[in-house]
Amino acid sequence: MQSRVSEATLVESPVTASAVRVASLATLGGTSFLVAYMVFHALHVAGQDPLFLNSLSRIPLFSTCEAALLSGLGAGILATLSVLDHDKLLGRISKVLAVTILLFTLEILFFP
Amino acid sequence: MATRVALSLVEHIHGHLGWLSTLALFHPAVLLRSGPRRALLAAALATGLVTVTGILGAGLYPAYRLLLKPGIFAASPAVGSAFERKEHLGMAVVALAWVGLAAHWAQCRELRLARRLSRIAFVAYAGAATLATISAVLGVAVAVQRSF
Repeated sequence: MQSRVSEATLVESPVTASAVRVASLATLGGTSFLVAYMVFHALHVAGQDPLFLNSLSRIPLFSTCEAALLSGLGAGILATLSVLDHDKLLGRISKVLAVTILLFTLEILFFP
Repeated sequence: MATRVALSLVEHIHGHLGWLSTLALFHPAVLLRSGPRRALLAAALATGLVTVTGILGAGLYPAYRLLLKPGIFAASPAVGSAFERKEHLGMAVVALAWVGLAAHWAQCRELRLARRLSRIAFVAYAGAATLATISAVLGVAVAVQRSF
């Protein structure tokens, strides 16, 4: 009961609001990075590298990473600037992140 | 010759830092396993260490591709692909460590959502520590076969 009262009476300051946005950006960006990395890696394994990957770097590992980083950053910024409910989002994203880590690990271990 | 010695030195530093940062990543994961708690120093040090290790590894990779990779794949394709797996996992480790640090930093400032943010930080650091362990084991398996 006490915690409910204290939660209800807490006022969101600009500092805490920006902290939540940073956390949303990083978490969504990180999850998107892993998803994009899985997609680009699968395309590379299948020999279907998108053309723009070669323009990023001559080394496939670096071009995959750079493309995934750009995708993750883009998705993170879009989600952070959007009208999504960050409180709800942060409540659900930990499970999505856990599943993404598991899928990423399985793909890399079984399809290097 | 001097370049080869320098590469070997950096490779050894990278290998030792790799194991050290793997252990360091378990620290915030253990501290945050049961809910919100302040562990900003442990989280920042682990993230910094794993980032430096990753940068050293990325610096070595072009030389590895040129000097070692053909020989490793010719001798044992399984060892060669183990190294590639290690590199991919390493990328994810660095990304997850930064996710964990951002979530934990936010948790220390945002009391209202501390439990949710702490959960995200725990998942990120636990994932990073697990992947770093696999990556470090694969790295040793390759290093005993061939190095600079």
